[in-house]
Amino acid sequence: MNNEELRRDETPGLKKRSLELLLKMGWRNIWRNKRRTIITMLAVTFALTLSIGMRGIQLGTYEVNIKYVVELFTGHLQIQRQGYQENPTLQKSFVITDSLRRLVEQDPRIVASAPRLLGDGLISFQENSLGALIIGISPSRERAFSKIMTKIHSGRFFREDTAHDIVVGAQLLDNLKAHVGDKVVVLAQGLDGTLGNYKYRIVGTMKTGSPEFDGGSIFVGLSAAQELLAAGNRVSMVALMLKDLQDIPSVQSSLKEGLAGTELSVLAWNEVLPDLEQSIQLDNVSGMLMLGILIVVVAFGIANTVLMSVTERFREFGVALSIGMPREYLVVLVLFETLFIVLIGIVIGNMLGSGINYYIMRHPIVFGGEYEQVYAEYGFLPRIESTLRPGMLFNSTIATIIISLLATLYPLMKVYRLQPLKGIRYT
Amino acid sequence: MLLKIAWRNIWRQRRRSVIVIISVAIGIVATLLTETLSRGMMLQMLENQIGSHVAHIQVHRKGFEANQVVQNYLPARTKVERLVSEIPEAEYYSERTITFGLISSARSSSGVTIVGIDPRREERVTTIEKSLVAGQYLSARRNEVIVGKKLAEKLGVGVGDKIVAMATALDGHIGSDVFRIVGLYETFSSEFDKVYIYVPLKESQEMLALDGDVSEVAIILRDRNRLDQVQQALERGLGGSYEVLTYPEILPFLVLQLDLFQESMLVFYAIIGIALIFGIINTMLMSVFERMTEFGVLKAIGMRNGRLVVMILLEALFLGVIGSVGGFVVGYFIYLPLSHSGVNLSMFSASLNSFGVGAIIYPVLTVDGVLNALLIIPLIAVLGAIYPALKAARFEPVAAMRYV
Repeated sequence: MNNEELRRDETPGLKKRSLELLLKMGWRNIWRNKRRTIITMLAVTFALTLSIGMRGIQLGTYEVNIKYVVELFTGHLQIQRQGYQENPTLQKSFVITDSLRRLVEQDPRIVASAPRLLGDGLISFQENSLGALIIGISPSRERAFSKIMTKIHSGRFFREDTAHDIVVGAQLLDNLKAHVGDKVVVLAQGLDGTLGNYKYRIVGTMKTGSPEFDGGSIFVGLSAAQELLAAGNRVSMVALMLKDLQDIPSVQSSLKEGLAGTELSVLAWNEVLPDLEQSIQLDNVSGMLMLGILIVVVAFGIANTVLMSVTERFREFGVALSIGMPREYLVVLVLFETLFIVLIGIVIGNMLGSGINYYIMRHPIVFGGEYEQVYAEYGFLPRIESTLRPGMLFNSTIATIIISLLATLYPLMKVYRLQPLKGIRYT
Repeated sequence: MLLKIAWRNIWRQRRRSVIVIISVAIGIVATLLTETLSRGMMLQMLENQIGSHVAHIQVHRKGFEANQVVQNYLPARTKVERLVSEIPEAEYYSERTITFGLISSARSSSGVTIVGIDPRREERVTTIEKSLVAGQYLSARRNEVIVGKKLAEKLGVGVGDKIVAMATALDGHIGSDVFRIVGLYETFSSEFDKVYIYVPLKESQEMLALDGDVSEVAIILRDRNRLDQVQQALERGLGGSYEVLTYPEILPFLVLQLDLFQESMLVFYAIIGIALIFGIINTMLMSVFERMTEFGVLKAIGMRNGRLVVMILLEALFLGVIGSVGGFVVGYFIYLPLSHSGVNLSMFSASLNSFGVGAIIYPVLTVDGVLNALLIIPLIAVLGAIYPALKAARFEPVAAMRYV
């Protein structure tokens, strides 16, 4: 009955009924050799589980790191004078004008802003002197803005605009062989080129995990920094925190518009920290490359399975051809078989991969010991997080389907070229 | 005999065997290139550190490494120098003063590490002289300084300009001196370039009130494999008031990272191996089932199960070995030109610079890397054949003969 129906379709195009028939045949065919089908599915499942798991971990970890760095100190956007990013000197500082203040305050997407003045200095305690970055901040503004003030390791943070108290990185304190409560001298060159030389008391230390902050920074009150660096009421940057990450490009362009004609520029976090962004890209590209290799290796496995399942049925196919089955139908049949196997593998892989990601999202892996050091050295948090983005599942799925289909091209061609008589005689 | 049969068997289904071999080969090519490239990057990080400053061995007063202050200068310098020059493995050495300081131009200032060097000795030990991008190296003239290009940009100065350097001297007062920039250098590490400045040894000693003393002796060995012997010889000759450090001790982080890299490569091998094993199980299963009748006959005429299993495992081993060797040859021919020209990753240059490597990575193939790939993958092929082989062994001869 089936063959009669097939014969009645005289057009080479596939009619709906025959399509249904082919689907049914394909589904039954793949279960004729259960073991083989399951092993092939397992390979696809493995590849997909791994790629979704890995992508989730990579993207999730990037997300947390970016969030951490941005919220720790950098902010989503920074207003700087043009050229400060390339060459951060006091000469590139600026005065916050009323119009700038209004511009920032009027934008509802900006939830917090923090003015800062940065300069290089030498910090001395007894016979020890170390170079350090002097960071002038306003504690009240900074508290609402960044997490830096919550990273106090010992002692306390200084109060608003004190002229005497400073907080230094925990490692810097160790290197100086000083203790909380000790008086230190900070030497720095001011905006006018003169050397300023002030005495401060260390009231606290901070530990952020970032070697830059912990080993080489001194936090002082903004006005104290302005005095030490002879910078008047100038600042190096105003950092901005937005309500929503997605708004970064739009706020950046609207601020740029508002600041047109001035010497100020607006930089997003990835422009402020190009090395973090590129490290992420580098890791991202190498991760994708590895998954690509994995999928290609699995695709060869699929190619082989399909080829074997096709060659062992040449006889059967030859019979089907000689009793009048169009060769296109055979090709579509094999294609359906492959798709069934790949799709089932993909569905299971998606579920397992999502499960892994979900688990890691709930229970992030936190490293200690050696790994912690390595991560810190690269400016990453010593932890693995995950994320579940629909796009991620979609991309892995599409990549697997496309590569699998490419892998079946050769067996499909074999089927298409099959001569009925040769097929029947094939052993 | 079994070997021969196994070898012939895999060529009975040429197309199938070729596809398995190609997939193994692709796995090998991919791992080979990943491994050599990552290893190259890491070794470059290490070499750049050794070459730009660290050298192979450093000798200090005990405690200097932890606390690099002027007060921890090297005691009895001439004694150390004599000992070092008597060790034949020590090819070159350079004496340096090292101290934190602040340098200022008319416009700006920056915290730096001031290194006082004997220009002639230092150029044999480190690559600073070769890293000059403007001006010239320190000559015999007084009060010259070379600084990193990045630092010069930050300070807004160039060759010919003057800077003031300040640092705490031995007696506790702040020593300072004016230097003229004669050259700018640029290494692969932007961090390094922003921090290290080089002045003549004599002036640094005057500025720091060191009276002819130095902070460290950095040594380059003829043969790096003698690192531990030289360290021991120096320790014996110098006694307990000195610290003799090898570069792995000075750069523990990089060495640790090399270890972690080895581990992560094993994970990579495992993943590729698992992906391959599915294909191998499937292929071997097919080839076993289509030969069931044949196996039944073999068993009926007296072939032992053990030998049958060995034969099937050998077939898988052959596939694995051919694929691995083929993949290795192809990978090697891709690797060879890359190891000369390097792989240009300049789109990540800022990131790579912060890691202390240039944008061009030269892949490095080591015996370890080759062995890993050539041992693990064929082994995995054999593993994948165990299940099919057992299947074949379990069939009763008569059932097998009737199997279709």
